[in-house]
Amino acid sequence: MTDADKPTKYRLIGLALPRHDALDKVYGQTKYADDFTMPGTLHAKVLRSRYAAARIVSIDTSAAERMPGVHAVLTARDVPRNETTSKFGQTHSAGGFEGLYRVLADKKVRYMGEAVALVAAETPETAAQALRAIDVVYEPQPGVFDPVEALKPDAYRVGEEDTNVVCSYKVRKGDVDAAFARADVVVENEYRVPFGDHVYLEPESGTAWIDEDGVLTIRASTQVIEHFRDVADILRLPHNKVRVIAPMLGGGFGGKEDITVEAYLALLAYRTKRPVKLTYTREESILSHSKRHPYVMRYKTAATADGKLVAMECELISDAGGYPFLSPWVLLYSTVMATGPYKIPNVKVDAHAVLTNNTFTSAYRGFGAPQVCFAYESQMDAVAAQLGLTPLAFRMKNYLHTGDELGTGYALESAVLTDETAERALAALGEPTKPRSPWEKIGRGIASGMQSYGRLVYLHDSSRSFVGFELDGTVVVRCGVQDIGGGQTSSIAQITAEVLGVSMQDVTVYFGDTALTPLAGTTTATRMLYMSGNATLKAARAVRDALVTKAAEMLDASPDRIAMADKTFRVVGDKDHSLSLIEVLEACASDGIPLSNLAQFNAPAREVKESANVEGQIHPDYTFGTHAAEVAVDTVTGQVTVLKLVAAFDVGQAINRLSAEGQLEGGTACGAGYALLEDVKMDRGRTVTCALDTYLVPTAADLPDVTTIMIESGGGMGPFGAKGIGEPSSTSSAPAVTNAVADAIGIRLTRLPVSPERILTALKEGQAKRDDAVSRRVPELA
Amino acid sequence: MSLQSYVRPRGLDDALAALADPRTRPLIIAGGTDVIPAMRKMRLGEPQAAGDDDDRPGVVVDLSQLDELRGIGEKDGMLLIGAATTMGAIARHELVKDRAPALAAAAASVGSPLVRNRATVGGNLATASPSADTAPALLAANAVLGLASARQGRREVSITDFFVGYRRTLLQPGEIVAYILLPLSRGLVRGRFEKVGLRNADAISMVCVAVEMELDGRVCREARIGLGAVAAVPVRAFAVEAALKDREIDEAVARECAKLVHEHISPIDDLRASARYRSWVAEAVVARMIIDMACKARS
Ligand SMILES: Cc1cc2nc3c(=O)[nH]c(=O)nc-3n(C[C@H](O)[C@H](O)[C@H](O)COP(=O)(O)OP(=O)(O)OC[C@H]3O[C@@H](n4cnc5c(N)ncnc54)[C@H](O)[C@@H]3O)c2cc1C
Repeated sequence: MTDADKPTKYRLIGLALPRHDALDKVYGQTKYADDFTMPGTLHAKVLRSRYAAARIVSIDTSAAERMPGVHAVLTARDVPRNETTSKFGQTHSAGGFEGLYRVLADKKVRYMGEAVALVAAETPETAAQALRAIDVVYEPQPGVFDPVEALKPDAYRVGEEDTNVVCSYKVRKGDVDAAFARADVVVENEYRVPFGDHVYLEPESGTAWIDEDGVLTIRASTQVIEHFRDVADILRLPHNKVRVIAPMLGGGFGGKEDITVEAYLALLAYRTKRPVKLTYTREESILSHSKRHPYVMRYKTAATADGKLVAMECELISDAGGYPFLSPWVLLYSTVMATGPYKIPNVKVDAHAVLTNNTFTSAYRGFGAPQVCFAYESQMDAVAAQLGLTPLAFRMKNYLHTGDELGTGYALESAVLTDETAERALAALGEPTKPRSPWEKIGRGIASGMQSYGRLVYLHDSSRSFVGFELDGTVVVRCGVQDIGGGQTSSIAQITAEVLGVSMQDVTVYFGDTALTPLAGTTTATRMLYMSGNATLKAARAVRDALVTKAAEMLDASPDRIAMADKTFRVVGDKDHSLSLIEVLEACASDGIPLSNLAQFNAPAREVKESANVEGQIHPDYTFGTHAAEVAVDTVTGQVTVLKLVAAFDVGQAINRLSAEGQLEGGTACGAGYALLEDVKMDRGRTVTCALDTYLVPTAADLPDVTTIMIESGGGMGPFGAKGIGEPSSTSSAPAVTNAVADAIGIRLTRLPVSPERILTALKEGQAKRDDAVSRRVPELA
Repeated sequence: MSLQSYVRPRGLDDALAALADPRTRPLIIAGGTDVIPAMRKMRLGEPQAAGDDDDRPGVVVDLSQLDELRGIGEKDGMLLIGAATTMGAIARHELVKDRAPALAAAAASVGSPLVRNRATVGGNLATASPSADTAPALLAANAVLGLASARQGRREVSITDFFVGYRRTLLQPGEIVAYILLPLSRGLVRGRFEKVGLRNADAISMVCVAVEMELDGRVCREARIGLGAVAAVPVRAFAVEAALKDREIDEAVARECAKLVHEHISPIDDLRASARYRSWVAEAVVARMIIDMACKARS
C-alpha cells in the first residue's frame, strides 16, 4: 500500500520507475565480481587459523612453494606493511579512533578464521592442496569468549595492549538517580542479542591484475572503493598506483564495508604479476567476515503515573571480537541512540566495546541502532503495561519532536513524524486475526525507531558527481557510488533526468571506479542517496543553469522565464518561441560553454571534542518510523507465524518509489529474521553455524507481504528533501515482532532470537522474566 | 583424481550391474540433494593424498532417470511408489493425497520447491537421517520396501526393520531401494503428518510425527505412530499405539497415552534444538494430533 496515486510536483521524482538494471538482473545478465575473468588468471586461497586464540610458533611454507602450479605463498613477513591503523578508508581522516588492521596474522591469532597465509596457483584445487601443505605450528592460548569476562582485570589479553577494552563512552543528562527515586514506575531488564551474519547472496569476490600502465587494479565486491588507499599503504605504493572497481554488488549490508579480499588479491597479483582471483565459499564467508555485534544491555527506565518518561539508564557491553574494525563507531551510534525517539529529561548511558577471541564484529545494517532499539522498545512496552497504558498511548506521550533534545543535548532540527508513523502502522494491522486452533495465541506489537543517515558529522563527509550532456542530448553521469543492489545508480539517473528534462533512458551512469568516476565515498551509513544525490543534483543544476542561460540569450527572454523539459526550451507563456535541446547544446559547444559540471557536496561538519563524554550533534540527521506486527504463537511447539508486518516511515521524499518500498520491505524482513531466527553460534570462538543450513534466515515462505506506508514530510537533508531509509527500515522491525510475541504469550523474552525453544521454555517453566505488567496489560493496543 | 566416471544406466539390471563391483567404489546418486553436498566435502578433483587409502567414490551411478524406479500407481490394493520418484511428484499425486495423506504431507514438507523437484523418496530413506521426513509417514503406514541387487536379487523388507542404526540401513553393498509399497488407507483410517522446524522451507525437522489411526466414532481401533529427529533412527511409538488401541479418545486419554512416547525416543541436543525441547514437543504434538484426529472423526 503506498500513496503512489497522489499528484506530485515533480516530473520523475517519486515515481515508481523500473530501475535501469532491473531486466538485466531478472535475466541473470548483470555481471558481478565473480563473473569477470582475465586471461591467465591464477586462483587464490586463504589459509585461516584453526584456533581462536594461539601463538604462532612457526610457519613452514616450503612444501607448498615447491608444488607444481603454485606461484606464490605469502605470510605476514611478505606484506610490505602488514599493520595499518585504519581510519576506515574514507576521504577525511578524522581523529578519534584508529583500529589496527592486520593483513595476515603475525605471532598471535586473535580469532578463528583469521588469515594466516595466502596462496596463488594455477587451479583452485592446487591452491587448496597447497594450503594443506603449509605447516603452521600453533601454541593454543586460553582465550576469552565473553565480553563481560573479557572486561575483568585478569582476563586473557586478546591483543597486544594491556586491556581488552576498545573504547568506552558515556552520556550524562540530568540526574537519573533522583528521577528513579521520585518515579512512579521503574522497570529494569537485561537484554542480549546474538552475532549476526549479513548473508548477502554474493559472497566476497574479486580479481586483481596489473594493468598496461602498471596500475594495480582490483575489481571486487565492495561497499568502499576508497579502500584503494589502504591497499596502496599495505603495499607501500603511491595512492595513484592502485585502482579499485566495484561492479554491481549482490548485497552488502555493512559486511563489505571493511576490506575483504582486496588486500589479499593485491598482494598476490603484485607478487606474481598475473591476474589473481578469489571468491569465498559461503562457509569461508561466514567464518571470516565481520559479524553484527552481540550486546549485553542493562536498561532501567522510569515514568510518572501520568505516563511521562523521566529517566533512562543504559549499560551497553559490545563484543568487538578479535580486532576493533568499526566497533568504536558502532558503539558510538548505540550510545547516541540508546534512548530511542523519546524525550527523556534524565539520561545516563555507559557503553563499552570489548575485544574477545570471537570473530570480529563490525558494520551491519543499522550500525548499533537495532541492538539498542530491541532493548528500549521492549522497555517501552514493559513500562506501558505497568502504567496500564496501551503501547501506542504511552509512546504518543513521549515521542521526540522537532526542537527536542537527545540525551547528548542535540536538539533535532528536521521533521520528526514518529507519531504519525506509529498511528498509521498500528491502524494498518486491521482487524485482529482469529486463532486457527485452541493451541494458538495471537499477539500484536509496535516498535518505533530512530536511525541516523549520513556519517558522523566530524568526518567532514563529502561526495562528488560529474554530470554532462553529449551533443546528441544524452547524458553521462560519473559518480563513484557502489551500487549494492539498493538502486543507488538508478536513483542518481532519476535525479539527473528530473533536473535536465530528459528521460531516465537518456542517462548513463558510470559508477564505482576510483580511476574513472569522481570519488563519492562509501555506500554505507545510509549516506549514498543523501550525499551523492545532493552532489548529482548540484552538478545537474549547474549544467541546467548554463543551458538555460544560453537558451534565454538565444530566445531573447530572461532566464527565469525559460522552461526546460522534454528536450525543449520554451519561453513560459509564449507558444511560438522554443529551441530544441540539440540547438542549445550546439550553441553552447561552439561558444565554449561547458556542457558538464563536476560538483562536490559537503555534509555539514562539526568538530567533536575527543572525550568519552558524548555531547551535542553527532549525526547530520535522523529518520523516524514505526513497525507493527501481528503474530500467531503455537503454544505446543513455541513456533511463531508472522501474520502481518507493517513499516511506516517518514522517508522525506521518495526518489524512486519502487526502490524505497524495496528498502522498507527488505529492512523489515531483515529485522524479523533478527527477532525470530538469526543466530551465529560460536563455541569458544569456533563458528558452528558456518553454512546456510545452520545459519537460518527467513525465506519467502516465512514472512507475509510487508505493508509499506511512506510519509513524505519533505523535511530531510537529501535531494528534494529525502531522508535515508536503507538502515532505518530495519531497526525497529525486530522489537515490533518480539513485542507481538510478548503480547501473545504474556511473557517478555529478553534475548534474541525469540526461538521456539526459548518461547516454549518460557511458557513451560515460567522462568523467563515475567513482566508482571504484561499479565495486567490492557488487551487493546490503541 | 578419485572420480573416474559417471554412469546413467538404461535399465535396472544395468544399474545393478554397475553397482556390483565394490572395487569401483560406486556411489548411487538419485536426486543428489544429499549426495552433492556430501561430495563437496570429498575433494573429488584432487589427487589422492600420499599413503592414504582412497575411500572417495570412483564411479557415480545415477538412478534418477530409470523408468523402472519412477512413478506412482496402485497394485493389489496397495500404493506402489518407485524409489526414484521425486518428493514433488509424491506430494502432488491425487491418489497419494487422498489415500496416503501423511506421506503426501511429509513429501510436501521436504526442503523447498527446488529441492522437492529433485529429491527422491528412495534417497531420503537410504540416507537414513534421523530427521528424514518421509520415514515417520512410511513407518505409520507400515510400508514395505522392495530392495534389489545383482548379487541377492529381489527382497522385500518392512520399513520397521530398515533402519538399523544412526545413518545405517540394512542395505547391502550394491543393493538399492527399488520401490515402496504401502496399504491404501481405507475409509476409517486417517493419516496426518506434522513437522516442527525452525522455518517453513529448507528446514530440517526438530521433531516430525506421522499418525495413522483407524477410528470407529471416537474409538481408536488401531493406531500407528512414527517419529523423526528424536532418536538415532526414525522410530515407531509402539507403546502409545498399544495404549490407544480400543480406547475411546478424549483429551485426557490422548495426553495420557502420548506420555508413553518417551519409551521410544532418546533425543539429543544439536544446533537446532535441545533434547529437552524435543521431548516436550514429541509428546505434545503426538497428543495434539490424536486429539485433532479424534475431533475430526466425530464431526
Ligand atoms: C536444501 C535442502 C533441504 C532439505 N530439506 C529436507 C527436508 O526438509 N526433509 C528431509 O527429510 N530431507 C531434506 N533434505 C535432504 C534430502 O533432500 C532428502 O534426504 C532427499 O530425499 C534425498 O533424496 P535424493 O534423491 O536427493 O538422494 P541422493 O542425494 O541422490 O542420495 C542420498 C543417499 O541415498 C543413496 N540412494 C539414493 N537413491 C537410492 C536408492 N534408490 N537406493 C539405495 N540408495 C540410494 C545415495 O547413494 C546417497 O547415499 C534437504 C536437502 C537439501 C539440500
